[in-house]
Amino acid sequence: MKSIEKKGKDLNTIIRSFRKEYKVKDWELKYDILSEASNGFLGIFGKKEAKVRFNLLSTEERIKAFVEELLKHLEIRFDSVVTRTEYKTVYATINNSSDAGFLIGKNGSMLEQLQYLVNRIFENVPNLERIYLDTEDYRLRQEQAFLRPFIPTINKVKTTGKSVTLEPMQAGERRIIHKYVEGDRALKTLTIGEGDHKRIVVMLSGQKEPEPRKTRAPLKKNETKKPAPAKKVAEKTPEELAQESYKRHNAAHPGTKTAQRPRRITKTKKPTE
Amino acid sequence: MKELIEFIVKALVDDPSEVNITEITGDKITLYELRVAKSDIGKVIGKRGRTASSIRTIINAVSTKQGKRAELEIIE
Repeated sequence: MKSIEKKGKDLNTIIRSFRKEYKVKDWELKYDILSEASNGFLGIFGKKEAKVRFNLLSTEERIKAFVEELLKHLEIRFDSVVTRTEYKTVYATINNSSDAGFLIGKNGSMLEQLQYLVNRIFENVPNLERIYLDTEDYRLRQEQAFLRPFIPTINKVKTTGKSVTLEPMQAGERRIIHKYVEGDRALKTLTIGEGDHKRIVVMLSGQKEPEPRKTRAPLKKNETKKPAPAKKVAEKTPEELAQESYKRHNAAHPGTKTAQRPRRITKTKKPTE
Repeated sequence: MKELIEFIVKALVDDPSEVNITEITGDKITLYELRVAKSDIGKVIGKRGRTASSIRTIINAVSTKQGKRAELEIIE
């Protein structure tokens, strides 16, 4: 917290000019009066200017002040609002509120709307990407509940070594998966697809990112990888290569239906969610 | 309720001094008419009305809790 001292004729003028200068809103105005103005004796002796010390809040403190004020207006009592900053993200948690059910709303809708509003209000703050609101660990539990069914699938990648493509998900949901996989050094994630069809691919860290996906049986233990005849490949057209790939696939999996064309996977940049 | 709307809207806009809310009490519904500076209308409504619907959800939740009904109208 920084503080600034201002002098002036009277308190109101100082406060007004300060708020204009720093664009401070009602709920974040914090100040101490150091001395009040006095006209002195007969307006000649001991004339004093008013002096005010303003506290300039940091982003985290501003968010805290705003959430506290908002809760007051919603007529909800609470023990504390705890804020924590991680890089460019601020997490604000409301502890022990008098009506957590109301704050969360149906399926978390109220919490979602409040969070959206807070994000809009602090939209233009530099070095701030997103604010997350939580109460009674609701969001945390939701995330865990969402993640739970995917954990076996993700762990399977480690045992089989085969990458897994998950179903299309929303940005927030993908973030949860990315975050979880990030914690495991053996695995990495990749996003494929566009728009509403973005999917996460979970794979081993050392694995190469798939261009068109290769459908091929995993190597057996004693079998060594055959060195790819590099020159030969260059002579063949992509169509011929694809045809060979089907044949190989059919040989490896007799009796299974083969896709007519290898599925195209468009690579996208990993989002910073 | 009026203070709540005023607080949220004033936090959203650039020019809080132009925020004006009139309360019209009806039999069942209380209507809140919101006027803001022209340049701030977009901020209150938001992309595809998302901010406005956010404010309305909160107003609805609060008024239901108090056993009332409230509606917000943004006047251009």
